Amino acid sequence: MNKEEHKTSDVEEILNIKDLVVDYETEDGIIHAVNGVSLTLGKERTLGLVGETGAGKTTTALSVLNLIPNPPGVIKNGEILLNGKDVLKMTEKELEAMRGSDVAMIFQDPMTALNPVDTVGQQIAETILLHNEGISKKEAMKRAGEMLEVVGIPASRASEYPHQFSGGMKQRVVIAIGLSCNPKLLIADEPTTALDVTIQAQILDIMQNLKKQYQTSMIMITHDLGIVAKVCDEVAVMYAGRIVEYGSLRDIFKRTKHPYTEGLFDSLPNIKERSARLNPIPGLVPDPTVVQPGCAFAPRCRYATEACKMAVPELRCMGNGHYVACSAYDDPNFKIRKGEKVDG
Amino acid sequence: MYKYILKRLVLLIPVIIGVSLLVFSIMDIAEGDPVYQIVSETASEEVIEATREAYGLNDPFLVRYARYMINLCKGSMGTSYITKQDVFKTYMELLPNTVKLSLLAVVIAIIVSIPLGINAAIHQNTWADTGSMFTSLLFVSMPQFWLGLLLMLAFALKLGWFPSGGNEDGLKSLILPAFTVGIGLAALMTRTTRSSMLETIRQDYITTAKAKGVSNKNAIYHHAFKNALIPIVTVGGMQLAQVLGGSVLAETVFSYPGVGRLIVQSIERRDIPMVTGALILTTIIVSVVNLATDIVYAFIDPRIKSQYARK
Repeated sequence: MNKEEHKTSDVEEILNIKDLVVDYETEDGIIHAVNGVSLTLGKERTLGLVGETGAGKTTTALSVLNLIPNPPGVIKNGEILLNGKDVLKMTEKELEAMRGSDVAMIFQDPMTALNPVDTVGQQIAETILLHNEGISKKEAMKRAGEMLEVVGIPASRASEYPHQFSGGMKQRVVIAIGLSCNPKLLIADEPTTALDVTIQAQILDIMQNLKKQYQTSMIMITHDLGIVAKVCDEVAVMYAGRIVEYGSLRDIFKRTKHPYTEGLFDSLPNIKERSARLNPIPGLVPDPTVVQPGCAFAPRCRYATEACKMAVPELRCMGNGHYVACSAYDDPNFKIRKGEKVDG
Repeated sequence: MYKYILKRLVLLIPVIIGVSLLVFSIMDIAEGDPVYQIVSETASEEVIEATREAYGLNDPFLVRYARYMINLCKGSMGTSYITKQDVFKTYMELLPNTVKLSLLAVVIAIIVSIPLGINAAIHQNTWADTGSMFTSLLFVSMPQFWLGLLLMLAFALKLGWFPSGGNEDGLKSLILPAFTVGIGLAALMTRTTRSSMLETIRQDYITTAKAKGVSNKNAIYHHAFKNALIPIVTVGGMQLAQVLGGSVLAETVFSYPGVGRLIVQSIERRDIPMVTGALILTTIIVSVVNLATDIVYAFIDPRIKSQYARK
């Protein structure tokens, strides 16, 4: 595909995913979670990975750490170049050195992401000990305390256990673990989904400030377009294991091209028209065990034609780094009707 | 924490009262007159009657029970009808044998079952898993006395490595009975370890640990195993308590002088003071082991520790 052109122009590239294919081989059939995803991420940029549950966002993210649970997960194809080095070809030792140090991950549910039998200080210090040779346990604990302060928790609480913290506080601890070794890339997998809205804003602020401070690149996985608007530079919209639209934040929000992206925006509540019913995208996400010959979104798409069901559309450039995978644009006059009422 | 321990120890008192009452009633209902164990069956009517009177066997049930409890409070568990020995002393002479046997059996069980269970969990649904699960099912289902006899046949009679019974040869005479008991315990513990590990290795914090750069081995042995310990300790503690109460079958097969055999022999002889005393002491041991298990929980899991503190 056209991954080469994805490059965000003059920015140094930190991550380059090429044609990633990941399957989960279960007893009930093969789940095609990721079907040829290509992505690039520039230094200090934030990429939003948007899509419904089951779109393959988390699988893509875990692949970057080569942490797909195997079995049942198998990376079938692709390259994941992290600073030019293919993660999928790394030895176990190289992977351990990379995880937590070059790439860190923040997980969706802070309630279960921390080990309940270790103190939070120990859990932060563990990362520091793993990636700083020759550092003493005491020094690592001291730095763990400093990391807690960075995310707004008093260092004195380092000796407490996860059950003594609230959800938002736990997520701060997870962030402290993630940033403790100054990673070049931070992957945040729906970091605020499990939190109260008020806490969400706090956590996002902390993450953005720290990202600036530590000059980290970030992949923000979310299904919340509000978060995307707040933190992302570029956005990739995923559907059924494929990227269907990719572009700058402005491209995606103002010059929406893909009918699925359009559907995501239309299904948001509109403050100007509160009495109006929400416009959900009709239908359901396709069964990931079935390989479809055509566009996976076609059965739910209001513009779909017979041609859509024949071949999977390739990503095509719509100018200036904005890509869309939709065969409707074969017709140069095609325009989506974003914001308009759906018929019926 | 200390308050919690104290509370648990105080709770032992009603348990002891209950156990003693139960044992007393069962021995009373059970057939067989203890007096014939004391005097010969051909003894004259007068001798029997005099003996009954002397041992207080003619008194009503409640009087006998009350007298026993009063003596118990004074620190006396009475003397055996048969051997005329002090009950407490007899029990305490045999207890070290049982403790040695139990500890060795549990150590064997731990050494065998934990690596096996973890291995089975990591390699779920492979031959390693199926193999260890089949073996443990086999040993869980195998009657202990039969396993004991098989071991005795192979290692005592055929190979002559270990004595076939008694406890005269120190550690050597412990090996076979300890394996007989330990293998049965290991079977259950392996299954517990496996299922507990299967649950913890799928937890999010294991992924977090790996994402931090923790090696696979460390993630399993440190992060997952520590969290999987609670059910393992529960089963281990229950098993230790059980074997400390006497491994009747293994002790009988290997004619090993432990408390289990003492209790069974005393029941057969209608030696009421011996049975009651031994069961009360066993109750105390089982309760203390259970309490110790609960205290161990607190050291494994900080959430439980803070619960104890609140109690």
